[in-house]
Amino acid sequence: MGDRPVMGSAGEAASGAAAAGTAARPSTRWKLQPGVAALTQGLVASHFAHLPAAEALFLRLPATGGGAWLAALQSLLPISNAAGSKADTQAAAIAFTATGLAAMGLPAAVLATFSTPFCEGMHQADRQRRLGDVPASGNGPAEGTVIPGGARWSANVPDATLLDAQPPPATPITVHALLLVYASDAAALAGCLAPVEALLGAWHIAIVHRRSLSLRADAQGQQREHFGFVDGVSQPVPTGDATVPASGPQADAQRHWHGVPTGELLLGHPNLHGELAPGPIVASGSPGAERLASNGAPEGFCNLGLHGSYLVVRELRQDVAAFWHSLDVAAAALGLPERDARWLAERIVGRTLDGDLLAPGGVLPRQDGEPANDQGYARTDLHGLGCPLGAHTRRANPRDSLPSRDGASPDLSLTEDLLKSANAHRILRRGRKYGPDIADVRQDDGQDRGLLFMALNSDLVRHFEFIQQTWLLNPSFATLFNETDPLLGPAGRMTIPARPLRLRPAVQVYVQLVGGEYFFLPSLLALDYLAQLVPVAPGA
Amino acid sequence: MAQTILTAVAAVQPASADALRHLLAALTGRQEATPQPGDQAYDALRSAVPLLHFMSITVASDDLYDPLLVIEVNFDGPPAPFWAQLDAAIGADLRQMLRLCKTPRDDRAALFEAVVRPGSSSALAPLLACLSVQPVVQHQGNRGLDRRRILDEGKLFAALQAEIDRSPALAALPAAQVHQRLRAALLPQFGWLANAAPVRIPRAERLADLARAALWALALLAGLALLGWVLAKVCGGLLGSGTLLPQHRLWRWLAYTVLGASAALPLLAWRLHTLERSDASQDAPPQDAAALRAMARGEDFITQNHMISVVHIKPGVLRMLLARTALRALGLVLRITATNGYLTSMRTIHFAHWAVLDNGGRLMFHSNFDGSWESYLDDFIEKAHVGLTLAWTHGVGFPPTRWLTQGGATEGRKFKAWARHSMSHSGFWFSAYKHYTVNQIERQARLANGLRQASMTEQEATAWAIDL
Repeated sequence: MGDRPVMGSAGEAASGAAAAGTAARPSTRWKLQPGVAALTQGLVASHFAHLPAAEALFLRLPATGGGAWLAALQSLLPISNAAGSKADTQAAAIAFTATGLAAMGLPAAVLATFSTPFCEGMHQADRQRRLGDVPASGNGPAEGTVIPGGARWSANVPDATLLDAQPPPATPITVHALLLVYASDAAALAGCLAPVEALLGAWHIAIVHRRSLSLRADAQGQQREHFGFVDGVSQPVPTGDATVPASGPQADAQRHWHGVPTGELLLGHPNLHGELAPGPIVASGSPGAERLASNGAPEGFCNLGLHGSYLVVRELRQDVAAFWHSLDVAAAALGLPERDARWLAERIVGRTLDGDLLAPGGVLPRQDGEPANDQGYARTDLHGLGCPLGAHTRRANPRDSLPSRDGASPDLSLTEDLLKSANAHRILRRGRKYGPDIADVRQDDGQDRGLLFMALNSDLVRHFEFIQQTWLLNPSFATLFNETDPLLGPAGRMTIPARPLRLRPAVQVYVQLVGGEYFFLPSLLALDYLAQLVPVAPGA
Repeated sequence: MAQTILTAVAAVQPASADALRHLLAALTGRQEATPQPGDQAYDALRSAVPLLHFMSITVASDDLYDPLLVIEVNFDGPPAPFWAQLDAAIGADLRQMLRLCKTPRDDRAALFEAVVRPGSSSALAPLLACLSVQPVVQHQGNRGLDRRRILDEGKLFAALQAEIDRSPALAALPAAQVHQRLRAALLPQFGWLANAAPVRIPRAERLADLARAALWALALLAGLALLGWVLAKVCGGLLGSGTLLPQHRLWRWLAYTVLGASAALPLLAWRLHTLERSDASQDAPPQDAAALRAMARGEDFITQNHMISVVHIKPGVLRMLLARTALRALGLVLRITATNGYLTSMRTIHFAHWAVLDNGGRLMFHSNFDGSWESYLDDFIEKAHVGLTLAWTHGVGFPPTRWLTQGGATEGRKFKAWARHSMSHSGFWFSAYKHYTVNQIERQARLANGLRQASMTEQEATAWAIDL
């Protein structure tokens, strides 16, 4: 997860409006250049914050269906490009798993040009261990961070190498594609979904799983995730020729702290490793290749990945009552009157309930009425006396602070390098919460709720997996010892640095994986290509 | 105490490579077995070889050569006592592995035959010593901390945490008193806290490191001076005059050195530049799915991971010279500068080294590091690419470099693919302290050093308590 507590949400509109109201210079967000925006899915550039009602449809495609259904779908529900505006009253995005592409008839040779994690799937045995997705029946350190019985849905990618002696059991639900539909309210969404579902049915495409997503705001107009934290805007900012930079008083600071080359997010664009982010390619002259651009592809190939991205999807169930109950218990155990459950919860997240980043002596002062975000930790909070070293926010993006402490007098001359290094591991979060809001956070109502975590990145290993393994779940993160992310990790302890002595309350499991997979989010050109795929004849 | 880093290397009989891999798997299986409740994996080896920090045994495959058996050991003190301990612990296994290797064709043959002969009981130590390859570059994260001290300070750390957790009243005291109370509470159990901490890098060791670097620099200058002298003689002969040079011997030799350097260095630079612009690289090394999966299956179980890589060195006299001088220089400099575990801002390496094999034909790299392989390589790419590029720039297929240090590893994805391709699955791997990162070991050492002090000022104690 990126930087902001739990879960990426919009806030784009809100921050733009707030800045416009108070700042002398008009603020605009970054955009993609028109030529790129027209060919890139809108989800890359926007969270569709102006469309608060949304539905995630998880699809299973028929075994020999081809891609023609995509053209039919697009005539009914166009997949949004990134040139849209807030005036649009609906939006849609679509992404495919490895087994989904295979089911549509994508040749195996083309499928093999996708990145290894995509081809192996999120639930390959070694990957499960690295991501901490060990089912509760195991004795691993991550016990309990997957729902009992194991994840319910995935792409069920077969182990083509047949090298795993004990591959994880298949999930009960196989997902081939994810269709996201956004609308301005529930009624509009329902009206939009009815014909889409009919069309999918006609093409023998099953909706095997679905989630109603929400950006519901509270009485103060704040969008909060289920535990009660205001959801934020801390996101990487793509830079380079393919983008129109943001403007406004904070734009430079924002680029300094959060800027990444576009190729960190979009395939086929320059990335931090001195190349165009590699993606899937198709031999020129093969059927449909003429629908693709050849930029960035080797001679003799067309670029199926160009302007596309990899989409990480993880359905994370949140146990709100357990969270607050356990913090009541942990706070009582501390025996310090001013250290209540809310105080602990804010240390776990690293921000206050209202979204302000913790700092020594309080929180960072607000900028234009919004929580400040363009700051590091090394110079103001190296030892985590404000924002604890192991707080979720700090683990998800340590900015300039690793390694966090080395005795009393650390070397601060390297903080710029450390910031650059941390920014080689950023993801663009597009998740939304699902399930009803809880009436009383301490009263379990038995309802299923959580976050549909969605994040875009161009290198699944260096971006998403690195954050999950090396930062969030690393028991030795930032010179801590034997503890992991207090929000997402297994039960254990959490160190809260203080003078003269740290506190070390116990934390429990609050978030569990229900299902997850790696998806390919194609460009609109690639979508055209996929639409012309023809069914593979059985036995061919 | 000083640590030693070594590898013993022998060529494997090709037909026996799989049998050797099975022996490694069997040894791993036996060491990981925990028949009794409370047993810990690798306990047998851990207690039988108390000098050992990290150890790996690998069948390193290579497209152009027969596989190698590589036994990498990182231990306290000099080799002889260590080899004896290892012989006593797993001598029978090692002997069986060596039987699957080719008999050396040089004068080590007799020793080799004596060890592998059926029923032989002759000691392994002399053979392992003469199969040993010395590192040219080595790096240690916790230099000068012997294994016993690392483990003792780890136990102290656990006891400290427990003591603080059961004494909430401590938090209300000034830091200096916290220190006093904790020292009083732990001194009975950890009597060694009454003694001063042993010096990690003794003065003699430090002086030896400096002397080696100075000697090496002198030798380099002498070489240049000799070259200048030859040039002066030749040119003097051609021009019929040698009188332009200073008369005083010291100044004259200085002039020879300058002459030698100004003749050789531009020539070398030009040649190097030409080579670097035209050297071939391997952007997409072939990937063997089975080998990659075997490596993945062995990684990310404990805090640390291991990698072994063997690459070929580019051909040509200049490459050979540069490979040796650059690596040697890097090794000498690191020995002097990297004494606190940091390479620029990264501090994830317990023991790593480069060694040259096959009369300069191959370069072997070993590392025992914290975190995942991907994060380790990312650290290198993002924070220490200059040194890494300098060390690997002479490897066949390495991404293009400029002036030995630029480019190369900064092409991160290609570099990772190249490095992965050069690796072999570490069939057997042992860590004496699987929970501790380099940072954690240093943190434990700082806490222990603080507790060794009878008292602290409030300021000192506040700084010390940051680590608690």
